[in-house]
Amino acid sequence: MKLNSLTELKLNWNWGMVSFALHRITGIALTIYVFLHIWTLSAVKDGEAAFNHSLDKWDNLVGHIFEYLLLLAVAYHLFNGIRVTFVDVMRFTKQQKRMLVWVIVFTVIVAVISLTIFIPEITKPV
Amino acid sequence: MRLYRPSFAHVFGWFMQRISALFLVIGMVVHFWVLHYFIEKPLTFEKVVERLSSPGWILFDSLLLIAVVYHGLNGVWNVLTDYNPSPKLKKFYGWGLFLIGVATVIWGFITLIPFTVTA
Repeated sequence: MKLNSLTELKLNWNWGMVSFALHRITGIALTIYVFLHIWTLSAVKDGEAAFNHSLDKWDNLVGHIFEYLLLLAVAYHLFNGIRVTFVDVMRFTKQQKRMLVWVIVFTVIVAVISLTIFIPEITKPV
Repeated sequence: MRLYRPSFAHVFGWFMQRISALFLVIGMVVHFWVLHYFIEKPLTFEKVVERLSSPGWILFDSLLLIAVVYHGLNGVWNVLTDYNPSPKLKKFYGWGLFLIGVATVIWGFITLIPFTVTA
């Protein structure tokens, strides 16, 4: 049987595997975003107005939802990265599953606190 | 017991991924806090220029750029080498990611400069 990432995930179905896959997916997505981010900001080469217009294009509901998803990806990757580092250098291997609960808790806290800050349309009457 | 001894380059890559991560943990929190929670929206050219009038912020943004590009592309390298590429392909990935990284950092700096000279 040919092993690919998906069959591996199916064969080793456990939360550690899911957290590993999510870390990779968010990592790759965020790396791609860095290029998009610099590209948006590089409009500054054509002057102040071009830069403001470039940022303005993202100042709508779709842009705000995208930024919110970006924040969630960063939050998860950051908290899970701290977990991975603890397991790597401090011999926290036995606690790694319990630490995943904390990763989820912290990510949810960030998600709840930031929801209306990132997507103000939610609180505005339609 | 025979121990597996990874190469220096391998251990260095792992170590630098942790060092850049450590900086990014603090850096990303500051970056998000300042640009999404602290500065009143919408963000404009003027507000960026005002922040970058201090050399500390220029240094911070420069380090954040280098750390994020290194961490991201080294992460992609880790993903790619997990699929056990041939030595030839591995070399191609390595040089490809290195060149993309250098070009992106230069692009980032070119983007940063207009905000600092107008102040």
